[in-house]
Amino acid sequence: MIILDQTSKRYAGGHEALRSISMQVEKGEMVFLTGHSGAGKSTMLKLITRIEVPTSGQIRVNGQLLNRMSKSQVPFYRRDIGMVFQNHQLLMDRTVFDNVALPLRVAGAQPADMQRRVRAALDKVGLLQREKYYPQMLSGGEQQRVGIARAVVNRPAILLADEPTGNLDPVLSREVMNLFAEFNRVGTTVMIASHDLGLIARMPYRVLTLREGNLVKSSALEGIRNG
Amino acid sequence: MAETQNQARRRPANRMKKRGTRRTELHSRTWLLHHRHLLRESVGDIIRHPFASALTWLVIAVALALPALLYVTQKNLEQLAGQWQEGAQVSLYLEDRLSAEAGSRLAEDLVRRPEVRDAWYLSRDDAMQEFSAWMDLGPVMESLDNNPLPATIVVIPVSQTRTDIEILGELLGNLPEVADMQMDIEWVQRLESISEVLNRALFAVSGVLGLTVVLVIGNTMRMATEARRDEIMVVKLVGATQSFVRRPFLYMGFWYGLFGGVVACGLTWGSLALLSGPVDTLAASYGTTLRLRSLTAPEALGLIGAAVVLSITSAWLTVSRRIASIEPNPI
Repeated sequence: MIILDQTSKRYAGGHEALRSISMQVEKGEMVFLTGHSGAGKSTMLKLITRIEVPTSGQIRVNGQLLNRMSKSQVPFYRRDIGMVFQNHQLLMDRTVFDNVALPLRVAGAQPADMQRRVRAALDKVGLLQREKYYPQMLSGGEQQRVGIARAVVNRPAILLADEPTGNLDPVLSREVMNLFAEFNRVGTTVMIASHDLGLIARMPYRVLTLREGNLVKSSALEGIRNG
Repeated sequence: MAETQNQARRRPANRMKKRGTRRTELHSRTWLLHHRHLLRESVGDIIRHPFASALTWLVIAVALALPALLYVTQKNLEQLAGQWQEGAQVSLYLEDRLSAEAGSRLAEDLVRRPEVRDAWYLSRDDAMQEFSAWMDLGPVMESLDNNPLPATIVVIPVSQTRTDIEILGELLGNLPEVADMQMDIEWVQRLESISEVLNRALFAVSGVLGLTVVLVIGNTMRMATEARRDEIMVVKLVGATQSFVRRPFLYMGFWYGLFGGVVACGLTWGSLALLSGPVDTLAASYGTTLRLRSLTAPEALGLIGAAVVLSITSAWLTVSRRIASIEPNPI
């Protein structure tokens, strides 16, 4: 689903964020991406969302080669990727409903269809009662769940999350991670960048560890999953 | 998945075609939906924040009302010049040796010329009478020993343009019977010059103020894109195309242009309504009537249309450049 082949990224200033990374995330897999800040996690996510283009090497997502993708194709490619951010990136002047509906509106869904799917997404994250609220009226955990609902509302093949639990307490963090696991159970490929090692260790998924732009470890944690 | 691929292999051409039509259908439906949504939302925005946008479209209205007023002034001057030109005439002062009969005959000959609409003979006595009546100089003129005025033929040309009158005047002035010739077209000339000056001014002012509209809209759009920077990043991240991001701003530009144009028409009509009373009085004092011509409905529509086109174009140019530069960088 996500294939990096000797992918490197060097920024204009000369900083080498990723050094010849080769890795693969299978369809329907859930992986954690971890490492200190500056290790290259963000760059990896930017490459997958086609915000950045690799300096060398290939990156292939969902069967599409991103190196050669034209600018006009990028929006359509992004519609198949759900993205969750640490600071959730909600539009504060829109209701919860309108925030979640955004990807559907961009893709031109019918109003009836939009309503049904937004409610379904809000129901999954347990915020159906909050659809008319504005984000400021919600707690941090609830805001993050709205962000997740927005990421999954058009049933993307891939769900990416950047430090989704960065601002949450352990209980809420656990809840949010379980939510991702649930989406993964129904077939979504999930990649979560996080440095919450304690939480990651307790979950039975593969962990990709980056250090100074190199992939240092790819632990399958099969033992935990099977045991 | 496998089945889909099989089907695809079996009827590739058919399927491709079908998918093509579906995509266009889908695209036009998406497009319509978004426009419907934006129409509702942009009107809602204006109703919710009436004063936020009012300043912008008032500036646009003033910028458009100035050339509109200049245009109307020029139009009225042209009308005035036209009225005056009706009276443009050539006076031929005849040689003293010419008899009254010869003078009348010459006048009749002149009437037959195709470029002459009318011509009549004024004897020296007629001229004297007319002059003293006009100047109210009865007693003074009576005190003169002999009549200093020549016999005159007044010629009204068919063509009322300055050059045609001048050509005719030169031609008739060279007739052997004619001692001197005078064209009463000074006022026509002056009015035409004033009209020409106004015409040039209209072009210059329209250009400058048109540019003002473009810049005002451009600046407003620049601030609007800046204010909605986060929103632009988010919609780009969830897969919005460039035109999707641009569209709400074009609607904004459309409303600015429409309101600006409508208010500009209102300002023009209002100013002319204010002027029409005094102008009537002024015209009456000169013994003529002058109906002030205002913007006609098609002209008003043209003004509004120009405002809308200007502001949408300006919005398009500004916003396209702005949103291309706002790349999502949330991570």
